[in-house]
Amino acid sequence: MPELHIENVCLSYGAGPVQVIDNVSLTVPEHQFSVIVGPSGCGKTSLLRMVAGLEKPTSGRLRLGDDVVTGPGADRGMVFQSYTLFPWETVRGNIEFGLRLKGMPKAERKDISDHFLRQVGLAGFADTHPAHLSGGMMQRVAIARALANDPSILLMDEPFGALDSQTRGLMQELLTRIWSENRSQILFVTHDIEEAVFLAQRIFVMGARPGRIREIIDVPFAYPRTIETLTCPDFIRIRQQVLAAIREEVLKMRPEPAEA
Amino acid sequence: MSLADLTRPKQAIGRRVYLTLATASGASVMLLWLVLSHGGFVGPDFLPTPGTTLATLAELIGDGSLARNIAASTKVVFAGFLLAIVVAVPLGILMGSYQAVAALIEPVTNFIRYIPITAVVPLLILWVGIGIEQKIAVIFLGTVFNLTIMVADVSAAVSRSLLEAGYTLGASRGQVFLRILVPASLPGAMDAMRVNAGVAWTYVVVAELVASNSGIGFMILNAMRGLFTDVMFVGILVIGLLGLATDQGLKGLRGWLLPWARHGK
Repeated sequence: MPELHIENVCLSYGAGPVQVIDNVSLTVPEHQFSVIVGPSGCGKTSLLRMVAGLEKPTSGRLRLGDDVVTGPGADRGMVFQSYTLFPWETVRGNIEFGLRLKGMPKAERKDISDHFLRQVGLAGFADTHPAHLSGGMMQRVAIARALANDPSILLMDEPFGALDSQTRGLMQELLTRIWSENRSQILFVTHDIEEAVFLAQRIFVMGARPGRIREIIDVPFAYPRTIETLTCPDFIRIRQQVLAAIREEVLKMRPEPAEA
Repeated sequence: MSLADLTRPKQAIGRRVYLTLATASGASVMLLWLVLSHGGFVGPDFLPTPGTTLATLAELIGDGSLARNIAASTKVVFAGFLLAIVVAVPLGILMGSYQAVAALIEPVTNFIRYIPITAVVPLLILWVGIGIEQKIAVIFLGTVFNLTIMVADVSAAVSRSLLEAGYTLGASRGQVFLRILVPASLPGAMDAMRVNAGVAWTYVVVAELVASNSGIGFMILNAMRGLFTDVMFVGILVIGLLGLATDQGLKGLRGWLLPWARHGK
């Protein structure tokens, strides 16, 4: 499982260029669960989309092991914030979509989809179409679909952002459970500080305008993490640390301090 | 149920009230027809009574001419409209997906689709002749352009993130088109077909304007010569019913072919 290297990446839009990302470098080691957290508009989603190959950096480069990223590919799976299941496919059809593109035989595909259906707790829904699923179930299928393709790294762009807070909590626990079984490499983007601390082994705190890495914080808790993790003193301390950093960034983005 | 409920926008009114209002509306039209024809307000040469119309309907069914005319018109409408589907659906999906295709086709299509089909009937006679091909061409030309534009809108509206999900699963550009854009466009394309199937039936009289000897349009035009308004009424009613049946048929086909695509109702 190769390391992900982001090397001196800059991103600007437009002719009188608006700089979105300023010289970001970071490394996601093998088997690591990394989370990028930052205020909205800091360019964290753009950074992730560049790793996926869906956007190109203005300068700098990204590479997975020795392979420089030039476009999207099956080695970098992605789970999006919006619901992106294919509505004409069943749950199983969605999970097997990438495998069918590879031309994998049916029996082999079925073994893999069965495994991931079980892992995300949807074994009874293999033949259901997405229109009949709740938001949380759809995102579980999206995770299974990405993992079934056996990517080198799993990219997640605020995948739980559209879910209600109870469902989000359950999904976060599920994700730490899946990760502790698979130990796949994950790069997860969120603006939710609690989510970042709960999920990550390592947190990259991004600053805004232009986006850059402001702080790197390691989180020591064991996996799978549970609801008890949320109340332990170290969790609260780290959350506080991230919160303070982000608050500073948010205040910097405001033209003037708010009046009382 | 109070009057306030009826005047509140988007307020559900319940099945019973809905049916009552719908029945009242249909009954009013019938009542107006009865009063105007039986009351002597309009002469029988201009407006047949419902009774006469029904008797004529029975007569035309009895002598087999109605069935023959329905078969002739259905053949023309279905042939013309199927051709339009075969051309417009692939072209529309391409147009909505590739800007280059849109640039090539859109200006021409947008110009032609505003030309009334009646204006090109003389040209069609010159080019295609006066056989069944000419009638099929009228239906085809009357529907193909609007259908193309409507399908193009459908495929242009397919969410970009659906395509991006495909790319990150390892799909090539061609696979994204064939395995994502095409299936994602089908429900909307079938809705566009339903709208334009109605349009196809409205052209049946124009299609049978020239050198016809059968068809519902021909039947209506022919009845005009002898002032057989009752036959004209039967013809008009039958076209409406055929349009309705086509619409229901396509609706059923959509549900059967695309059970995963529920109507956003």
